[in-house]
Amino acid sequence: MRQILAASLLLAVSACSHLAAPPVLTLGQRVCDAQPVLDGAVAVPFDQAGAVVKLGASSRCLQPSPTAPGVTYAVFRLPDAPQPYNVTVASVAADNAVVSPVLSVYGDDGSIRRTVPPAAFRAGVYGFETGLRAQPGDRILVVTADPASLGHQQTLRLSLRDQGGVQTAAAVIVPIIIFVPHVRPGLTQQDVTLALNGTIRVAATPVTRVP
Amino acid sequence: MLVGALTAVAGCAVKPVLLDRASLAGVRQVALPTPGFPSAPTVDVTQGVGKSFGAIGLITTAVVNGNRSDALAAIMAAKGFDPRAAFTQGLNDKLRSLGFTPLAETANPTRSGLLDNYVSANQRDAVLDVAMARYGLIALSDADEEPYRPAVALQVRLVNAQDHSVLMQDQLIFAGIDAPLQRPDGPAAVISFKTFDQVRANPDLAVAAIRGALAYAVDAIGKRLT
Repeated sequence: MRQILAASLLLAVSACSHLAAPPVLTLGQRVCDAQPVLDGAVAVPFDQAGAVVKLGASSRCLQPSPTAPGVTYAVFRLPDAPQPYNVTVASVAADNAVVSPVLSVYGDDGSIRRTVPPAAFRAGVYGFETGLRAQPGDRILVVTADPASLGHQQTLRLSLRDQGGVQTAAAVIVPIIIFVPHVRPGLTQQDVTLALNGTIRVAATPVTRVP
Repeated sequence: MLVGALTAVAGCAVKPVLLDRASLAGVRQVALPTPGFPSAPTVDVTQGVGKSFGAIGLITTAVVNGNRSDALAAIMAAKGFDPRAAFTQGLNDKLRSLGFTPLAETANPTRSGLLDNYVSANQRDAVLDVAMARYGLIALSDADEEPYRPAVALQVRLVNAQDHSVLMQDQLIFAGIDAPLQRPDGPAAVISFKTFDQVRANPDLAVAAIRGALAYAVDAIGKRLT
């Protein structure tokens, strides 16, 4: 069973590494929103899988001022819960592009309650990720591509940890990552460009408590 | 035979919880229970036959080399290097450098997993629980082209002392140190030995390799607290 799962992971990694689409670095003459439009937010369910939005050249775009570059953004609606809960926000590389994310949390009244800069995101599996402890009243997440990062190169080092669908096997799979990069050197890292296209995933889960 | 120590890591795998920095507001005093730490280092060597089957083969043929583990332990002892003390001191220093006040607490020092509970009468804002499952050297084969490199595997959890909510937890495995690392951990300087005879012949360098791996682990924990 372990071997089958590991083989599946390797195949998944191989498949991803062979896809290629150019990074989107400019939106050209598109007319963008001066501020995020919060309508039509993608609902985030209370589960590990979360909600996914793919950003690309035709996605919603934001241009706060005429001199600023237009950048893509995604809007998520958080679960309405009376208690705090964990939110994981991941910017996942699509082909060789990934969004360097800026995160804004909006309240019920449409005002920004907090902002999370790109530096707060750490490199995770195929991209960047950060955690939030959502508070009652946190309603909308807006994930925007950081304009200052556009075009920068980033090397992501692959890890098989936390690959979707193998959570139950993770206990066995995790040590395997030790060996894979040496046997398959081409899988050890992925060069990506910080761009306007990529995939944003937001998941909400209950706060973990221990005795 | 799968590496026994790997089972120790795998047995109580934790799902990562990413820290929300805002949740550290008001956290100053951080209890540091005695870290779980192996009684001896581990030297893992995979068998050459495994290469015939690629990664999958390696998985099934990795074994702990007891003699070499003993030899590495003897080298550290001869050099007066106490890895547990170095690691614990490193954690304390790291907490202080991040603006926290570490508070030592007693816990089972030989555990390979995180604590079962965080009940205490002590006054503290949070608890940093660290369990080192293994540390030592690892080589993919006895062949010269696969050097021995430092490796560590640990679990870490930060718990809010008031409501026992998990503020952060993760499982870190650094093997060969240059392999599966992710930003912001970044690559570390790697000390490697082409053969185990080189480990025996360079005890100071062997100790430096282990010391560096433990320091690397401390830094990785620190980066998950900021």
